[in-house]
Amino acid sequence: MCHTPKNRLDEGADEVKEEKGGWGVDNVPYPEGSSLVCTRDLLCVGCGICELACSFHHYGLLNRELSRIKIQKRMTPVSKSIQSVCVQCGPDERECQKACPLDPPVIHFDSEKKHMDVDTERCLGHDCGRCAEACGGDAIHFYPPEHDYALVCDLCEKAGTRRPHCMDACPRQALEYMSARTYPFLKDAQHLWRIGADEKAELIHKRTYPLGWDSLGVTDKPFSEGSRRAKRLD
Amino acid sequence: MTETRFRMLEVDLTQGKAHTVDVTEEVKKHLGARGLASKVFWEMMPVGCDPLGPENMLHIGVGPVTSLIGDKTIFSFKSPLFGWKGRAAMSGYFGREIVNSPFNGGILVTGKADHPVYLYVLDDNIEVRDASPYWGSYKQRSEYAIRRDLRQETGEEFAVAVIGPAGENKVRYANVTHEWFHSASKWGVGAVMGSKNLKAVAIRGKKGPDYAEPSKVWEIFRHYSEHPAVKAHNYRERRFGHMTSIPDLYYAGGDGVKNNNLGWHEVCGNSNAYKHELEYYLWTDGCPGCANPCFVPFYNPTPPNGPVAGEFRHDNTGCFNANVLLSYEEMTYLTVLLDELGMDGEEAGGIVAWVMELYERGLVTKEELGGIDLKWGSVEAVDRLLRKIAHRQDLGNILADGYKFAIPAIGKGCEKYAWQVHWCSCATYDLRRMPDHAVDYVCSHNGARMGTGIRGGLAESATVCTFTAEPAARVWGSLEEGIRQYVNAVCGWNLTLDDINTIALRDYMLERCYCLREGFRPLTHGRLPDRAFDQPITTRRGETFVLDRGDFAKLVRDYNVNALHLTEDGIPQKDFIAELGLDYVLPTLDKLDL
Repeated sequence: MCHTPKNRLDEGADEVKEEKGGWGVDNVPYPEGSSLVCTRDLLCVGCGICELACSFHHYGLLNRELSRIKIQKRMTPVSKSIQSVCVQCGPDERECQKACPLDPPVIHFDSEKKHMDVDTERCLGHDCGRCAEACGGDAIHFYPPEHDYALVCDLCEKAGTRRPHCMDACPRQALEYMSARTYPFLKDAQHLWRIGADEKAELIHKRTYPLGWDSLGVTDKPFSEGSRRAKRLD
Repeated sequence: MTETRFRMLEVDLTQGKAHTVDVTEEVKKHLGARGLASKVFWEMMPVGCDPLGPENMLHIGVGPVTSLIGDKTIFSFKSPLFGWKGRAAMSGYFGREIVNSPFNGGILVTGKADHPVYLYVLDDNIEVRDASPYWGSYKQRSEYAIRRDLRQETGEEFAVAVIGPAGENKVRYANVTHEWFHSASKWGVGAVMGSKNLKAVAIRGKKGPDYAEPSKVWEIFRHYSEHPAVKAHNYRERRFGHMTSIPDLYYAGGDGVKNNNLGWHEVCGNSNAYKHELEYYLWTDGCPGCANPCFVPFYNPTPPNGPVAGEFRHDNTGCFNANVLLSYEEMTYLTVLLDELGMDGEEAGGIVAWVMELYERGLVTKEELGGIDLKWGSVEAVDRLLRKIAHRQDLGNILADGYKFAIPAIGKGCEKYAWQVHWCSCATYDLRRMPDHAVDYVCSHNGARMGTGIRGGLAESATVCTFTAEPAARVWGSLEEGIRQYVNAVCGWNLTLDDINTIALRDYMLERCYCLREGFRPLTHGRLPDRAFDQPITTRRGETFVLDRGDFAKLVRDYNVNALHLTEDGIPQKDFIAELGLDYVLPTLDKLDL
């Protein structure tokens, strides 16, 4: 059983509960305390069911634009789905909160609930948009005009209960819970997950080196004439 | 609960203008996509128009169920390959973007632009934009460039369906692709776009879908995607992708080998999905709303065929492969070339294998081929011929027009060696081993393809992925019942199962009548190649398969009458189509010599 850290790292120390046996995502408890929805882009197939689950949970609609988790497709050059969701940054790293021009900040870490929260009434909306620009993880969106405030992951917390619907719905186990309990150094390490969609695409692109962004590897020269086989394509 | 309204965007490229049409009443009768297109074409397209002329229309169709049971976008048009209604289905994200835009009745493109253009749709903003900078480049580069430029301009990631050089040069089996491996490949849709000077369609829908009862839709969705039958289904394709059916069929004798001359060749053993996975697997990719993704791209970094990245499907790989005596290793290069040129692999594969046999028999010479030594199993020769076809050089100019025009142009009895029905290649299946497929092909009015019957038509009117929908019968009792539940929840209607079945029949009959009007004749065109009856194949296990003319004719007659509700000769029965509410086609049918 996992050690439960009780130190400064563990702002929201979990209580250890008895687990039922066996492996699998069903046997991992819902995150408590400081935690995040952790993405696994290489397992993601881009079905977007998580987006529908998120949108339905929060608004009763099936509109992916309202989802707080985003699945985008990029050409790397092989098309790849990229996941973006708030990683609930540690105290020194909440760039969105720092960027908010209002006082107190509209987007802020709720120290009781242990996740980011948005005061939707006061938010200046996409015309301001400074929080979204400041976020390194592309995790903040707006949906004007109906929902023109920062849409950010709240770990599906309702009435003190957490149940991230995106994870429930993902058919590929491409989303994981990560909490201080499962990852003791969480507080110092959340920024490791905060990677923008463009940067993720750049990193995944390296897997198909030496292909270029816009080339699958075929040139305008026939097979035998290409000296391309040893060179990087541009 | 308010009833969902359906709007179709109509774009006239000649005038450069667009307007919206409310098609809700038509959707009630035809459901959408393929069925809706039949209705639109019957009413609006001039009789006997040139498929590559400005009168032809392109309907980019979605239906009420798009992105709920897989995601399909159905392109409908008059086919330049055989001359009546063609349709091509594309998986991927394109359909979802259309449904999320205000145009949930699809997009109808008419006319012809006087210079290369692309269609830009961002919710209500519709523009016909200059595509000169992208014209002439390979498909991947075109798509990347358009998406990059639009992203810089709008900050949005568009879905962009593009044609390649083959489409620009009006190769009659050119295709349209988005996200690089999601292709609408069939029956010359790329040539139709090329003939309209339409390089691409770029769409981004942010409005969100119109669902009458979202909670009901979500309930049905979760019930299906998490059903044990769905989880258990499709394991092979979820792991290996669609190409896994190629080796399976080789071992059963059901795939094309050496221009469909053989039932087995030792080279077949080199196509192994498991080895391919171990060597080149990259990741798994899928379509919106599908919990059973079947796209498995590969990356081959090693010479001499690499570095290349691609995706094997049965359709873009099985048609070549052992049919030209190659295997997966070489296909890692050729499949990518096909994708970049923008051609339907099945049609191109059938034609290349056919010309290889003609070359072997001396009916086509090296000079006619522009110096290509078109020997079996030569990657280089296939590479050069495909480029000649895409750019219409030498014999490639004739081959680019498909069997219909190439057979009379080459002459010398070359049709004996062409494995085609309706002038469409059937390279990915050996019809002697699969008589059910053969019946489907022969009875089809929609090119030689499986799933062209009544249920297949319904799936493409509702825009359901038939792979994803395979466990539907175990979940809902039948696919029709699943579609009914979804349609009622999405549209706020109250259809019964009988209503759905009537819609399926109506769509099928109307489409058949349209094809008859444009020159389709079941008895003349629905013929298997003689080789299917005269030349047996022997599988690896030593089983021999060949069709019998009498037995097969009986199968076709029975299928026409019992499954398709037609006469024995494949003609719709007038009383029956009048019952379906299609009386308006009768005066036209009466004038035809059927």
